[in-house]
Amino acid sequence: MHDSLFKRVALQVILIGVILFMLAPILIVVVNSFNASPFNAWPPTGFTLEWYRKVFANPHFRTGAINSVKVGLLSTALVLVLGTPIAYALARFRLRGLAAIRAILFAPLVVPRVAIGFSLFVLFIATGAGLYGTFAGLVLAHAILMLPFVVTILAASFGEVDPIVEEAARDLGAAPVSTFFRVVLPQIRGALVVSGLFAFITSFDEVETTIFLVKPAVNTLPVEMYHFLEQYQDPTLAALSTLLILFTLVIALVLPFAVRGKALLKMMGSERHGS
Amino acid sequence: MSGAAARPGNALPRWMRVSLLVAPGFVLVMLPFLGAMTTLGAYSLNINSTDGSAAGFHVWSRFLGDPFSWKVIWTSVRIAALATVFTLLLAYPTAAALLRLRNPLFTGLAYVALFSPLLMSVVSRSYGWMLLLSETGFVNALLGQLGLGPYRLIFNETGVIIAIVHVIMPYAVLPILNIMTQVPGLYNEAARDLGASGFTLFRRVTLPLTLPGIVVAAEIVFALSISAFVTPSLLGAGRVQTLSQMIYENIGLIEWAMAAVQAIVLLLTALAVLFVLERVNRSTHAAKGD
Repeated sequence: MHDSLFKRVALQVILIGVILFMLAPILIVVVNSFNASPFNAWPPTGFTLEWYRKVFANPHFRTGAINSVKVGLLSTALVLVLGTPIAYALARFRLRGLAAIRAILFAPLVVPRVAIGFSLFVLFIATGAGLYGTFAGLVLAHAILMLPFVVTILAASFGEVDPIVEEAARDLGAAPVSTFFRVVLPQIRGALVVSGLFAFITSFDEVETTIFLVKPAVNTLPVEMYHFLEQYQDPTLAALSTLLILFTLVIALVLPFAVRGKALLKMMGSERHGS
Repeated sequence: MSGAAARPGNALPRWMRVSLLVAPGFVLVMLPFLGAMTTLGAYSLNINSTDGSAAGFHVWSRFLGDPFSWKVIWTSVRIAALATVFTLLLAYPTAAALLRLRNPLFTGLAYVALFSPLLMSVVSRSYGWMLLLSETGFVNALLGQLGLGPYRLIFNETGVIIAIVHVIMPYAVLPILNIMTQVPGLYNEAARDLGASGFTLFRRVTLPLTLPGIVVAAEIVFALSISAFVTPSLLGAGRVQTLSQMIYENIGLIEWAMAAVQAIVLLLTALAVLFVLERVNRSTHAAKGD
């Protein structure tokens, strides 16, 4: 590269500026979680662990966290079980009907999440299926949001599995179903882990669709946090956010151990392939 | 899969095997989504009236005839457009700077710093910005030491846009990084040998070659900004009215037909901008001859 000195310095300054900008709200939240001032005064007036005590004493946050983990695990399991065969079909077969399936599958990506939330709300009300304000309703909503991502990641991964391996297994007498489970599936293990974690984190942080579908008993953690912030602004939320940052960091640190190769980068790059 | 049908284990025709693979997900997830979209359309026509009025287009005409609606639509579009522009203006040089980093440690740290906010709930991030931007917050304290301010940075569009830019930045940097790594440095060398320099090189060579990545980034980022709900709601605190917040408020007011109309308008607005950007994307591809 033969960049001029000015260009190099300018780019460095912008990069550092953007990095500080991206880290600023995280750092302030962590620092403020120990701030003794209930009004978030800056600079902090003293050190306290009081806000952490308040987080654990808050029953809404506790049930919200349990609800979020439940919905996250259930919806992740659902999209993996339903998404894997769809991804396999998209990667292996060329049929005219599949184009329509693909279009429907990726449609939720272009619909604003608020609109998805409200449309599911009216669907649940109109059909009288009793899904409004239930775990089943939330799991369905999160599955709609996550399925396109999960199928994209898995289909890309199936595409890299050489069909010859399957043919060989079948020539050796394996039935199609057992070929799939014993030969194909192990080769996409990394993609399953990545898409599963991605789905769980998406579900765990989701507010904009979820908020239309919850009743107080099934409020998820971010919805509880949102309602808390509408009323109070003391650093209790900073303490909770700090704990959540630690939680997601731990999950994110599992990634490099669970995934080999460049599956993570591929996942990040594959977000809009089908849209 | 040629010849596979000859084997006894593959007695089922292809379409049937595909159907079996797709059916569970289609019935349990895609069908409810289609049903929800259809119900949304029906509700916007007041099919399921909450106040005893007849079905028809009258909720649509009430919404479209109200100047306040147009103000809200304009606010939503303006905030999303400004957030998109600011994000792209920052994301582009950031991606360029990232690719020029030579020290692997710095590169790793820079990536973590840029993308780790993705792992943080949007509620926590908005809260962080409330702390930073409030009258007694960090930014105003800093400015105060320089003898400036305090400025009103929160509960107005400025605060909403700053926080949205933060939320969407990673989604803009990724596609731009992606396209920059695909553009060979060769073009730049050639252009330089032909006498192009500095800004000309950027305007005539680098920018056109990376334009597809910018358009993709703009599509993703605009779609996310216009449908943002938590950020404008918390940082605007009711003083910045967007479509997504009105939909939420109308649920509480049992104005479901109106909320349905607004949800469809929000969807159509997002689609219209996506359509325009997609056209731009296609024309840039055509110009390159692929």
